[in-house]
Amino acid sequence: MFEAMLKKVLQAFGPSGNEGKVASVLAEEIRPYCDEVYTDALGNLIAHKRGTSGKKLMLSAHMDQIGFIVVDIDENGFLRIGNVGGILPSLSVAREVVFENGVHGVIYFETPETRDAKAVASLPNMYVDIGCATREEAEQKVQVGDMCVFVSNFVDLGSRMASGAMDNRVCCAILVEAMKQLSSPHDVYVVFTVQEEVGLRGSGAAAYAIEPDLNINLDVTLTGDTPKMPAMSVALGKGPAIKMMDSSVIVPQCVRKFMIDCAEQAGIPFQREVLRAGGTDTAAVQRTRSGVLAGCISIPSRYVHTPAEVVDRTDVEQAVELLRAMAASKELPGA
Amino acid sequence: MDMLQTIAKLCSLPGVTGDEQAVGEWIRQCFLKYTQDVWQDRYGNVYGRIGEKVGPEILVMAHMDEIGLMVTGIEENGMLRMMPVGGVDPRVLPGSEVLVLGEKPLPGVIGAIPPHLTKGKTGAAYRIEDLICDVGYPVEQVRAWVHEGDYITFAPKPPLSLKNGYVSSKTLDDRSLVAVMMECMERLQRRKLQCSVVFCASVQEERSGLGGALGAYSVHPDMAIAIDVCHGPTPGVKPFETTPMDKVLLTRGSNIHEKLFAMLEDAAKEQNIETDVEAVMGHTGTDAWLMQIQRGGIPCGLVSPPLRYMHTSVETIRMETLHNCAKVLSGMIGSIDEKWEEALCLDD
Repeated sequence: MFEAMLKKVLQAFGPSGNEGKVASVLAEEIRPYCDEVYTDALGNLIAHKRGTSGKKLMLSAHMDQIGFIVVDIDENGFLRIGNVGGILPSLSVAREVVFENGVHGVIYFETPETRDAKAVASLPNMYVDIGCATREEAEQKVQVGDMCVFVSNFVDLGSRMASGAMDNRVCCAILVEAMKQLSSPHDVYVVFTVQEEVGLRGSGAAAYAIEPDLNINLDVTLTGDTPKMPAMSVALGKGPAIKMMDSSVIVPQCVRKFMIDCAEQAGIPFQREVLRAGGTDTAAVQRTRSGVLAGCISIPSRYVHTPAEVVDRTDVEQAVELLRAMAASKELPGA
Repeated sequence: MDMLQTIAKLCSLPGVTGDEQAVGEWIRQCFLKYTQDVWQDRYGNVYGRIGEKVGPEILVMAHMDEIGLMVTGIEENGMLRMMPVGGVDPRVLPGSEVLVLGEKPLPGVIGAIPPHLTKGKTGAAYRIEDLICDVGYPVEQVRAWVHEGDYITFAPKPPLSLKNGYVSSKTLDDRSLVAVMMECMERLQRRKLQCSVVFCASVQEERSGLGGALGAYSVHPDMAIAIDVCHGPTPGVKPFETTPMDKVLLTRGSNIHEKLFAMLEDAAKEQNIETDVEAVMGHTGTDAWLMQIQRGGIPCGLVSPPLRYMHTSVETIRMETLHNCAKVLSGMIGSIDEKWEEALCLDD
């Protein structure tokens, strides 16, 4: 597997709205395999590989990650924070965070009587301690409006692996890897989108500009294979999932069929995903202009939105193959 | 056109949100009776244009999708787990007859624990996670025909004609208004119009409003009118939240263009049709919401017949009120003349 590249992409800083660093890492990785690489006004990174069919295929994955934004710095140098995307407050306590400029901090919460973080931790009573004693000292390092993200290790679990920002950097890495040996008759636009975690903001703008004939988006999804999870048939290690529906989007029948046919013809195992709660960029692409056909490959993932998101290596490798199979298809749905 | 027969056919065709092909095809055929200018878009919206190539273009939209369910998993005993598609109320699901639309359509039922076995714990309503759909087959056969992502629709049955001109059926929200669009087309066919009218049966209103957004973007009309059901009076609901069953509801509020509202109200008055007015602060919960913000902004109106028991299999409506909706719409459209821009102007 492409572990070295994945690690680089996982470690790059990039909370929603501040994706510059991760974009430059991805640009460097993908440039050798494309004809042009550019950034749009929102910060979406777009890599274009020319084709001959006259059709445009947009492959996308969001590159932003969840994080925190500094909303206030108090007189004792503690940073008050707001969420950037779907942070789980009680799971954020006692975590290490890092700012774009390399300043580190730890998160804790006001603890008058109990140390039960689950009972009392909520963003308004949480703060980041960056080791400063006064506001003036803290302001030398961090300003109101700066963002930070969880620090996390890459954990090798054998056939599986864990890290923060697996959502959605694993899919960014899959896209880069797929481009290395991509053969497609179509103009392929790889779009690493911004601001998915704060409301599917980047993908629609990119799709508006590109006007693709088809968009295949990639994102992580939840699984039902851990203790006491609500019933969900997606599990780690059973292949990439083809999205049917989530709370943001319904994948049209013709796109579902195209994706399933590609997987079956290439002999790639897959799962059908129906996600009860959660959304993805596909929804914003679909409602662009007078409608863009769009579907989604989902990477099954446990513990999503924590610094220990777990995915399966085989699912990841097979997602690369599935992408290549789809890009190679001469016919696109809805023609 | 026999409206009751049309509604009966419309309500019998599956068309859960995101899977509207079957009902869309029938509507396309119906539209072709009134105009040759009929088309569909990528997501399945069906359009039919009538009128003249002069004056403004008006988009009239009723959604053709219906609420339903989707298979999320198959249990070891062959029973299906489900997720709602659109605003399905799990409290009214147990005891429902359904059709599972897999590779082979299978009739099914949504079961419940018999009262004998609940050990007295019948107080709490079912949650969707607790419910199963039973198609009668063992797991091996079910897995061969049914997959996660397959749709489940409420079993199609002929509407029940109640006395006094009332009708009860699944999916009157909003197929009865698709029939109203057809009645409008029929009425307007006989008139010389000074505008062009696009009728659109839209997709996915019950979830994202995708069809409304795409329809208004692609047609780019000068004004757009959504027609969708509102709530009729039922016990336990405050009077001001509902509309009497014999009145046509016209909505006002930030989603609605004041002058378009006035044009619709005038058309009702002219024909002595009784209306009720509802003020909605923001989202009207209809296609008007996303139509309004397409392109450079589109003036929107909303016309609604009251309906009781919305989002159940026994939605109940009064036929005469449906005809009155068609009269208000066709009256307003028929009255459009060269002064339409002044009529819509907000500057005075």
